[in-house]
Amino acid sequence: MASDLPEDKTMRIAILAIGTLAVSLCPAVRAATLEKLELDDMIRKASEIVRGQVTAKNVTRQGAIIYTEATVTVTERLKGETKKTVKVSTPGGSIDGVTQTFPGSPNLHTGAEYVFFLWTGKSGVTQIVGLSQGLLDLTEAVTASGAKLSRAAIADGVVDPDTGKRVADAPVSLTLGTLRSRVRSVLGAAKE
Amino acid sequence: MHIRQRPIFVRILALAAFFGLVSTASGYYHFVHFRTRFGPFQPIYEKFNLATLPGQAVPYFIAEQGPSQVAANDSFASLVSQIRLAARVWSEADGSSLKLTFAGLQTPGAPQSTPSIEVVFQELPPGVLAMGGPSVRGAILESPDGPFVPIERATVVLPADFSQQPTWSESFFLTLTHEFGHAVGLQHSLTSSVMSTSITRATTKSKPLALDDVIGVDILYPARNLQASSGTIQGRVMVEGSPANMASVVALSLDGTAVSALTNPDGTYQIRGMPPGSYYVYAHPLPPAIVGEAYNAGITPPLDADSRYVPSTGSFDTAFFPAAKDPVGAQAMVVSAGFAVDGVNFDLKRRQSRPFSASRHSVFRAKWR
Repeated sequence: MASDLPEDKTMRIAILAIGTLAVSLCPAVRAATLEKLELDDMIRKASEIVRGQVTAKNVTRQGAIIYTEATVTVTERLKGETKKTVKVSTPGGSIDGVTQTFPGSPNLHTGAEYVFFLWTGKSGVTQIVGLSQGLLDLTEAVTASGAKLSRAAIADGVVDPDTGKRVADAPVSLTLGTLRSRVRSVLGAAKE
Repeated sequence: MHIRQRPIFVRILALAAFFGLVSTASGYYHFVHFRTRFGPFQPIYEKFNLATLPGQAVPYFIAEQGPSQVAANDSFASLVSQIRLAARVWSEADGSSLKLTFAGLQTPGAPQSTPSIEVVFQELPPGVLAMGGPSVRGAILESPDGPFVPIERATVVLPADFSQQPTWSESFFLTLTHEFGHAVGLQHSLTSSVMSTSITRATTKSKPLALDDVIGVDILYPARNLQASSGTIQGRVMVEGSPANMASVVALSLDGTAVSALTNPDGTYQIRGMPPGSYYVYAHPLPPAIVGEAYNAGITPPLDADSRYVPSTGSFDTAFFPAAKDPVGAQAMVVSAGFAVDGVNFDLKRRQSRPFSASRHSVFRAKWR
């Protein structure tokens, strides 16, 4: 049943829509609960930063959690030890007939190339820093000066570590060359 | 600002709101399966089989070793208390028969004879505060409430290191509540709610659930009187003559609350469990996936009979019902308890560009009359 909209309700609707906008305006909700990390934070906190291609995927179970483990062939290393491959674990996957889902966990595509900000804990499991935050897409072929890297904003679900409040994320867009310089700069400053 | 005296400005604001809403609101969504590839599409949800559980309550265990570190003046006992409070939020959702019951401390990964939720402490990479989600085998069971896919076990993953995160903080409590929502079968929502993780969500520790959360869990675990005490809006969303899968249809009430649902692969949708009242209804596409995400808005699509994901329809124009480009031309739909408002259909134009996606927001301070 539909009712015509009275003329004098026009502004009410507009304000209603704006009010709703005020409480709902933000980009997609993309992940588990995340802490906001600036690029420099990610550079500092990552144990490895690599550019590489996903060549295989495997599923493992560790305690209560199923991980999908991607084998990444490293084509360039910006931070960390020199290794030709790295195993990157993302939470969720299917094994022995059981499927475990963690909404928002990244799904790495076999054959795709990314820049990974990685972190390895005491357990030895290597994961992406901040889930999707530490994963940059290569949007064009790599040249000497570097390709463009990008990631859309993860505005929902990021928490300011200083205040505990939720804050807007910003999209990341830079060239590979800029990232190389930034990594050198941040790591150089850390050594001084 | 007195908007009534500025009709052109009102229209501009309405359009601004309209464009903002294009990418901002999708509603509760579950983990969905279908028995068919070609329809009819009856959503089959992943949920706990309450009938087989002692006291029809979902037990949850907390890993006995607790976190490796806690902040000064904080304790594992305090953390357990917050976890129990967050679980209770879902037990007390209006219109739902879901009950979560604390079953004690246990060794992580210990075998269980009944489905349960396990709260574990793991090393999480920097930037990740918590995670949660269900585990299923995928078999469809029948029940008096209809078919469903039983959750075998659900997991809430908390960090092992709480040294920088007080367990008593409001933000951590809402995080816990959010992850328990995933554990009982809810996916993310873009409507302001605890499942949205939105920076602008209106939920607080004192009122942790929004209407969208409550209806989402009510549909999974309905109380006996839910259908009689609430109404439904239903219809179909088509894009240039083809059904739209996972289009978000939003019902916006006059008090500003929003409830919404996603369409099935045949374009049909139902927004159930709605409190009686007047609503404006609009449909919009999901925001596109970001790097690493396989699916738009990070929402896992439904699985068909061949266990294949049915992807969401691409970008299309947003419209208010019946066919308005902005809210000024919308019609209010009156929802009554026990009745369904049928035929709230949309026929929308495909859009080549990606949906508008804002990364900043503004708050308008408008004066109500």
